[in-house]
Amino acid sequence: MPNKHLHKGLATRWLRFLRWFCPPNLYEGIEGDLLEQFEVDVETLGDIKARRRFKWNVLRFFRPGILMRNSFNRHLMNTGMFGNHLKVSYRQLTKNRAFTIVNVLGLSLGMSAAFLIYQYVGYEKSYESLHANKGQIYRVTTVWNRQTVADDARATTVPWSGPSVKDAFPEVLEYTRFAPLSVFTGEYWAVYNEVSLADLEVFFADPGFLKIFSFKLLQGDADLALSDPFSLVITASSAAKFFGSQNPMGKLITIDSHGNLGPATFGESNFKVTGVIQDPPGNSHMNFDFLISYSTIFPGLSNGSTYWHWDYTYTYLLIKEGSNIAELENRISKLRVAQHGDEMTYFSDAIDFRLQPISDIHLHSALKNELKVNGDGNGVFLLQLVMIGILLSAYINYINLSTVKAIERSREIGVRKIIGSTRRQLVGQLLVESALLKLLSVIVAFLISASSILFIENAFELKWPAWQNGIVTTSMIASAIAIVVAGILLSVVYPVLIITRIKVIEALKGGRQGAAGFGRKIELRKVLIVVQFVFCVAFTTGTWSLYQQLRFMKDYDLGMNMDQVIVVKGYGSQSPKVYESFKSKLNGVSFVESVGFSSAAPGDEVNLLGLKANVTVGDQTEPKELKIVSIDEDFFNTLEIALLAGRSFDPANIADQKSAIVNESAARLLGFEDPFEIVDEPMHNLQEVDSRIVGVIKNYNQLSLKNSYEPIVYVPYKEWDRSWNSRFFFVKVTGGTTGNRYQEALAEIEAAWKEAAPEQPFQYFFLDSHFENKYQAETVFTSLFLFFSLFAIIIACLGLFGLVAYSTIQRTKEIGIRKVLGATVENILALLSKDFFRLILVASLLAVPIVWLALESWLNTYAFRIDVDLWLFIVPLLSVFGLALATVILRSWRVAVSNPVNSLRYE
Amino acid sequence: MSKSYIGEFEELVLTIVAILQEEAYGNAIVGEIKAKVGREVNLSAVHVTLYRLEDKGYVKSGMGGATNERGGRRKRIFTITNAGLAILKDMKESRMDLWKLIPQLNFG
Repeated sequence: MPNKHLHKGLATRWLRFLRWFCPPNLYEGIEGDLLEQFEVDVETLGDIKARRRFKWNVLRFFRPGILMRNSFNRHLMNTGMFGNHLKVSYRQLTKNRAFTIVNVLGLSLGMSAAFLIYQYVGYEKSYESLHANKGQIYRVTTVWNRQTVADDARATTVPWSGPSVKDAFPEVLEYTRFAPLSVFTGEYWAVYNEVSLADLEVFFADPGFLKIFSFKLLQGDADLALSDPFSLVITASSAAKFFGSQNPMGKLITIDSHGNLGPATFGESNFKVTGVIQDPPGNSHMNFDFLISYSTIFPGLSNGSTYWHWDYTYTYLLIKEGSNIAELENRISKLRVAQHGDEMTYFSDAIDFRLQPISDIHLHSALKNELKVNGDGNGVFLLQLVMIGILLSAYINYINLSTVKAIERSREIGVRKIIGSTRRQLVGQLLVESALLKLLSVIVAFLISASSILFIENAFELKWPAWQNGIVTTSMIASAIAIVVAGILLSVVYPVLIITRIKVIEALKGGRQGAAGFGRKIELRKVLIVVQFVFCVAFTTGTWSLYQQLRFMKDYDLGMNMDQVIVVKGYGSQSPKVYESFKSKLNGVSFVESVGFSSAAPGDEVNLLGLKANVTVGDQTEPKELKIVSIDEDFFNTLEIALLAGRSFDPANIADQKSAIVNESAARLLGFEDPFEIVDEPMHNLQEVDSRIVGVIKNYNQLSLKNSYEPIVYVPYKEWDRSWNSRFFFVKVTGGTTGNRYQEALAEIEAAWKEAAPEQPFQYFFLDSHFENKYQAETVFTSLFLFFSLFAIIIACLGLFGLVAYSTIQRTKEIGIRKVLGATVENILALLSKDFFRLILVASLLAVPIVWLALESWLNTYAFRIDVDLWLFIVPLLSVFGLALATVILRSWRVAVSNPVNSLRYE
Repeated sequence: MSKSYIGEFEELVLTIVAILQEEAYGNAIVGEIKAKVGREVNLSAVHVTLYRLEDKGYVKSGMGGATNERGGRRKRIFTITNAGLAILKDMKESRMDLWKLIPQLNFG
């Protein structure tokens, strides 16, 4: 019996496989041989083995010697017609030049927008990708004092949470703390022989740093480099700056901060280079030049209990895969209470530890004290939406235009079919044509992208990240190509379907009516136009609102006057003498109106002076947390900050050494609605000193308008001088704002500084631009949105243009008749634009509510914001309508004014 | 005209085709090689070689009659062509010529 042993399903399945790849003329002989072999095998080897061998034998036939005998290459590509396809395509493209330009321009605009955004988004998302075990690295963050101030979530933590957590929990494999030197010192600089550099990022780090992160250690021993006190690991670029071609290992670098390094090291300031590390790349949230071994820090600050609640350090943990993070957070918080609960004199139970995946830091973290200005996750998400929208619009355009074209060509298709063109040849023709068009578009797209990047970099002063070395990965390029190819395939399918469905007889007989079911197709095209304009309206209104918010923030009355204020940075451990002499020298200069001093520049986070103020006023018992800023008596009038009640400090009054001024919010937080009532009240527990409140100032925006007013207490500078303070001198300059005047003023101020503090570098900034820099992210995003909205609008208008072109051609005769019967040019224009207007109206009605909701949620992240109302939408909507109207009229004008004789005489 | 060259395995298969005459098809060749030379060869390798020989014109093939065996599939029967015979003879002779050139060793 023939192959009775062979299981039916198995046989057919494997033989079907054979038939699939085997050339048909060889198939029968091979199949027969296989079956015969199987029968023999069953006799000699038994059923199971025989079956296995059968499969194996089939598989062995899957080899080039068999596969290449297929004649697939002959019938897949009809090379004979290819040349002709090319020729016809070329003629088609040049014949309808306007059409081709509209099509190519739309597509290439869409593609280049997609390229650009893809690069940008890809870079933003590539943060921390350097680290091999980035999935296991967590940053310990803290939530403080939740009773009084809501959501005081900080990126920093206390030094305790590194070593103690690792000791207590086995799933924590490694820890490293990462503490900026600047929290101890203020300004500092590093010296080796002749080379002296300021502006270095110096951090203390535990030995775990080199194990957790994948920054490459180029020289030195990863186990030892950060172990001993006063060890220093430097980046390759700073090694080059300090040592040139010399070997840096073992050299001594001095880090100076005018005297000493504050409580960190108490005096000692020479560090031995024990390692050279790669420079952290731009797409890392860390940036450092020097790493000092953490063991250098005075032990009482490092892990001791006295200062354990000072949250000056960042901490990273390497956690075993599969650990329950939420539970670990709880256990850490409980461990803290168990070990140090009784030492929290001010904060009963008010610190919660959180673990934040390192990959969330750049885009999804909005904590206080972040290391770098983080990216904007929402913005990146929106940009991705914009990218999809633009790309979709561009392809929709292409589909619309090609369909229109295809229908115009129905007569050609009909003739081709009659001559004997196969379906495959027709499709081939269309594919060649669209491939040509796309090729052209890709080339134009690259030109547009390249010039756009140049434009963006110049106009917005933004470094386009993809141009940095090593950031554009092959996978990014591959997926970009994939997006384009997928789009091409999708956008080709639909027109091709329509064209090949055209019925020959109808096509030849009835001309344009030949496309079967065209009536329904036009509905689809309307839907597509609506989709396009939904994007278009959404982008324009969105951008407009972004811009309005930005302008609102820039024009907002901040409660102070930052105009013509030059801020000079002071240094740690500056003697009062420098303060006095700098001030008196400046006061002698004619164009200096006044000089004030403060420990916090507006725009910056208030440095708490490393201390907490949990104060009570009068006979209150519930303490409230305030921020502390130390100022001198001239600070308020230099910045024109208004006093609501009481007075400013008076240096002549000895009693004022123990005085304080609060702002409105602080007064309110302490329970005084009327500012006059709090004046002269005693304030307790302000750093264990009792002070008298002498004044209340009007709220001003210490931070950018994203943040609401913070409760702040101001204390006299001299009594509150700490070596780790930040120090800022605010110099109000009179006179015009012309460039020369500023140069002169700066020169004078610098001269005064050199006299007062000869050894210290002169560093300054303009207060207003310093403050506006806080809106840099918004400015950049607004510019980007504006730029890409332009793309979207152009694409949508191009699409509209094409469609109007089509409908006017279709209705040429109708228009002729109408004109003969007495229709005016305006009538005709109204007739032609009415339909499109309806579509745009529908699109607006769809887009506005979506944008409205999105805007509300975005604006809610700002403490000071514009209101969303219909007026906000009027301007962008009007401009979209205006542009659309212009497009429609531009295209239909010619038809509307043409002499009806021309369109009717052939009838 | 330069002589075509065939490989060792091709020569073996070609020889077997010549030996088997009317009965030369895939399985039979595999079986014959095993019986005469004692070499296990794979069916697919034999097939590929046969097709290649056919391309070169040393064998030709045709479908045999249907039988009740092997599920009713016909056999593809290969027969050696004159060119095939010629090249076999050629190769044998040239090998003999070379053989004669080897100094006759005395295996005593």
